[in-house]
Amino acid sequence: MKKQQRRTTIPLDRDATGRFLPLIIGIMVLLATLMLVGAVMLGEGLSNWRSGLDLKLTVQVMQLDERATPLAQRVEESLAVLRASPQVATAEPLSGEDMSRLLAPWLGQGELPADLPVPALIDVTLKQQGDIAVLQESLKGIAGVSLDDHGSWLRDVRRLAQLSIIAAYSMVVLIAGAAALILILLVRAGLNTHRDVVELLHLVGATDAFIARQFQRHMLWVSTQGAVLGGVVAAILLAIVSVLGQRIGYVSSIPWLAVPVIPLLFVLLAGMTSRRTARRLLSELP
Amino acid sequence: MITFESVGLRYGTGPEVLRDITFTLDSGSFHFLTGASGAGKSSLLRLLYLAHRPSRGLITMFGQDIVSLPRDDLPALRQQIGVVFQDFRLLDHLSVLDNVALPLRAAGKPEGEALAHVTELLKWIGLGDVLHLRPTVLSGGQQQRVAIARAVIARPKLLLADEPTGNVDNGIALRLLYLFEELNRLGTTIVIATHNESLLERFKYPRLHLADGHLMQSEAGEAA
Repeated sequence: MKKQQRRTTIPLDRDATGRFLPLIIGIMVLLATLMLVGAVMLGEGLSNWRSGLDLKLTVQVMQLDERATPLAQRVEESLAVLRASPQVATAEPLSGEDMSRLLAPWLGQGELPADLPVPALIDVTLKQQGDIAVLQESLKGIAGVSLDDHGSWLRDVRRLAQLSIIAAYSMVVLIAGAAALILILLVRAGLNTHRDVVELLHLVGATDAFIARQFQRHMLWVSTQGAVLGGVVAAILLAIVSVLGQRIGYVSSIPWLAVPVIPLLFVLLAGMTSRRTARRLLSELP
Repeated sequence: MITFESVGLRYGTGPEVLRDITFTLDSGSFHFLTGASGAGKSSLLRLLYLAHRPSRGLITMFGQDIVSLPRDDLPALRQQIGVVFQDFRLLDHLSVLDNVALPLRAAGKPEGEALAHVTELLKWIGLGDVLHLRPTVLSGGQQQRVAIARAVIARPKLLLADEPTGNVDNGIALRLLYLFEELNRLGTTIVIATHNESLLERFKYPRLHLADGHLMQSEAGEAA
């Protein structure tokens, strides 16, 4: 009862301007949590995917004219070179079925036409990441052979994924910034609405810290309501995503830590912003 | 105890509303502040309760130079000043008890001690049965007593009252003045701004008389 009386020395809880604050904070907490979780999962997925692809190479043996060494022989020579290399873990040629499946989106199902100059492909797995220039040099003596480390498109995909992660983190920061701006506006509006009460407190000897604490307590209380609301909804949505992800076989761990951390950060942000704003505005009083 | 030397006050870039005000209020003195409407009484009171700092001149209160005092030190000085506003300025959303307890809470007094002290004072001035009511349901006289209780609860060294008898009949006005005299006997310095000629006739205390922003006279001869 006493605490209730002290909390309402400035009747901020009656302000129409702050009525929707819990809902606004709730929505922002929900968005920020989903963004952060998305960014972490994207980063984790990219890392897993890269670690699988970074050790993969593809050796392509082109069809040449009839005067050249036959394709099958050049594939065998290439395999021999690859398997003799200390860098290579495995080197396996793709079968005709594999090639048909790879080209099915462009050429349709079924066997490939005999007169189609389809190159032979060798799937290479390295023991560890390293310079492939030596391997390239070794294959140079075999005609029509090229080595593709997927570097260029892997770099593009990596850049795109990194941009997505940066964008997601930026959104989290922007959402937090927007929340801080709303709180600043509400504190300013509260000070204007209750100017007579604030001035009276000032005149009876209340310090700026005492008055700012009234604003801070109110904003902390209202923000906590919103943060809990947003956090609960985020947890429910992520639980649904987790269940659906397991059903479709996509197994990536959800960073559950974000669910309590983001609401907590928003509550801290609300406390700090409201106190600092109130103190700054109060310092303009005589 | 309180000294004004060549004090001037202007609001913003407007004209000076107080000019060359010089006087001294001894500790434990009792003064009336008089003057026509617009003469500067409220402005002088605002300087006394530290709602403003002067535009020029020197003010010394409780041994402190108000002009150069850091802003952070002002609340401690304000806690030594009680003010009864003409319109009372009670907070309608708080109970009588909480209104009177404001200065003690602002001063950081322990809650239990503050409530006991406030309850005792309100009972003493006959408001023991309205402790938990809102000021809006009280009569004008009761509201005035609440305002006075709030002004004196922290035992201020200086008590300022702006037209405290403006809204009450002569009988209540007299009782109020007797109350202020009682506080004065306990050592509180009192300054009362008033237009009430019958009170001024009856209570022969020195006057600080303002006219057009200048301090014109003091019957006790304490003002310049």
